[in-house]
Amino acid sequence: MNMPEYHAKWYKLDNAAKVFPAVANLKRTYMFRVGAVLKEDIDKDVLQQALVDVVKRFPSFNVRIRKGLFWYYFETNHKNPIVLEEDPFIGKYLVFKDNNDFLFRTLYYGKRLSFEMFHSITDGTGALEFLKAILFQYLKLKGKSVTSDGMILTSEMEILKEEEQDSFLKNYDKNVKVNRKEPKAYHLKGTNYDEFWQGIIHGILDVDDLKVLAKEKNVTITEYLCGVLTYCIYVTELKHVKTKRAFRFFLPVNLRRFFDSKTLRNFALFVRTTQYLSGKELSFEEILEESATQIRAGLSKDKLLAALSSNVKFEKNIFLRITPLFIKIFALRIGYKLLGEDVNSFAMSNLGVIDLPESMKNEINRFEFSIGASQICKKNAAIATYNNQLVISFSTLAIERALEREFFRFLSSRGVKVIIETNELEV
Amino acid sequence: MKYCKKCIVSLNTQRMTCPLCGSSLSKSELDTSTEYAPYPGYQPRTYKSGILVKLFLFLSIVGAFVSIVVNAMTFDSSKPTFWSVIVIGCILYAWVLIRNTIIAKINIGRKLLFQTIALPLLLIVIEKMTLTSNWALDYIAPFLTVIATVAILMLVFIRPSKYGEYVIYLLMMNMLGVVPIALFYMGIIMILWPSVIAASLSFLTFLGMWVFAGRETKNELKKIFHI
Repeated sequence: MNMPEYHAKWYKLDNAAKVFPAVANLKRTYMFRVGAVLKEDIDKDVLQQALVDVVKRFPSFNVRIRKGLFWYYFETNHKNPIVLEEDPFIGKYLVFKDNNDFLFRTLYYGKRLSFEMFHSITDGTGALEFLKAILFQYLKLKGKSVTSDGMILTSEMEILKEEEQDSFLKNYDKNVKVNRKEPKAYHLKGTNYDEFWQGIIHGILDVDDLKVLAKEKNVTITEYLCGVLTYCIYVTELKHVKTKRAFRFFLPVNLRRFFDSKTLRNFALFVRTTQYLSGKELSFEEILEESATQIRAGLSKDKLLAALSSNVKFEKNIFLRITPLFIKIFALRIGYKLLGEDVNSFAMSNLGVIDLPESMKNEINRFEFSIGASQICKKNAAIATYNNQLVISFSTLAIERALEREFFRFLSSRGVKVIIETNELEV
Repeated sequence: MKYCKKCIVSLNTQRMTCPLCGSSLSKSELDTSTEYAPYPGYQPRTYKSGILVKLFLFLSIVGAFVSIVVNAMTFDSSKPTFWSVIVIGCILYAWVLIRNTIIAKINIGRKLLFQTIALPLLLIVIEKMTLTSNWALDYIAPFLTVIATVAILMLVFIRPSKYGEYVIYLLMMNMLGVVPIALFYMGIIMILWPSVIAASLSFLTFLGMWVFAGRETKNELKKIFHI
């Protein structure tokens, strides 16, 4: 006999997740993508089977979202997730009802397997664990001799309660003082595509080449790329624009690096660099040094704990808590506009270096990670590194390509090998 | 694999020009075996035309408009009748019935709740316009809550595992069930026995929910009311 549904688990949304269902819409979908390019074409039926097998191992992904009187909540989804062939629209708004109520989309196209995740269920790190587990199961069902070597969350590994933890709540310190004042950010200009089309440009870069460049300047690769992007935006746009607004670079930080957590749900915050670039004469070295200094300063446990605590404090406000959900949604939309996105100019998320068991490495070419663009941040970038290839994926709502061109030319003229792939529509 | 001399990059693309700078591409020396279409080509998004909905919306407006005009033109001030209000009420109810009850893919409990509120509202309008006795509230409203409650209970008996999904609607139906008896004491309803039946069923259902499924009911309420 099946387990009766009322034994279904339910979860409160974690601190970061709470805001997304209220503020997501057609233009700002909060879908991010993790994907892998395999060596062979994807077999849809096998993928479907792998998906059904693996989703049971990830209870916090196997959910649907429901409305309570005061908050949204997740509860176990008893339907089966579906596999779709990729359509040309990247990161399209997800209507849960049309997706068997799941909050993620499973897509395949040729050799590429991708997940588009609604940000409420997880962050990049959690999504990557899920992707790795699916890849493992898929390859196993395909008859490949793969072993997990303890690096994959397979069905044999016990489901730990810590994987479903809201690590924000766990680590929050109510005595930390908060300062919420933020200078407003400059926003990139550009002409939108029709129909919310989102352009995606993958640049596959050679890590060794990048390492040489970063080492030359004594910075990490992330800091280096952050500096290059800031410089390219300065050269292509901000140098010629008169504005009092600062250029603010948003760099998500995986908090699992700083706090002890095994959670597969959201557990990321950010550092933000603030530079006043408009109308100034600056060299690349000056901009890079400023970016690197600010990133290093932001990456301290104390600062991240302060930001974390201020977010949790907001959630714990009793007046917010007892406000009915439909009013809360309005409040969250306004709050998010003021404190969330308006204060960013450009975002770059780095998923880090991805490692796989030796037996799987022969089957997978590369990983890709991309975060959606929005009306306010018309261009964003995301990075995944695997097998000596760093894939930087620009997502853009704007037709203009000046930034991407400048960026790739900057690197290639300094000796970095670059391969480009796009979903560009031929105009 | 193609190559752009200006950008100094290799490209995996079917295009003839560089997606970054627009200049024409040359063949690269890199192995061409990896070449494939990275993404599906552009197709315009398809939208539902919704012509049927628009047509019915327009017909509804025409119907309402014509009945108001005819009603006004044939208005007899010695015997004033406002029958066009009934027509408009029926049109509105038809929209609720078709959109929210027949077409909508929502929980059946929610549909029944909708109907238990919408139908009496229509009938009260008809009753007031036809100047008949108090039948809509006296009989129809209490019996509708009885029918809806019994319908949800039957659904629960058929698939007990889905009980959780109906808890909130059963509770709201219980609340609706005691409204008629309250209206009786306020003097709006004249006949007591249908209201007593509705209120009794509501009360007994409420008790049953705690006696037979207390844990599940509590769990469901916890989810809905957590702050």
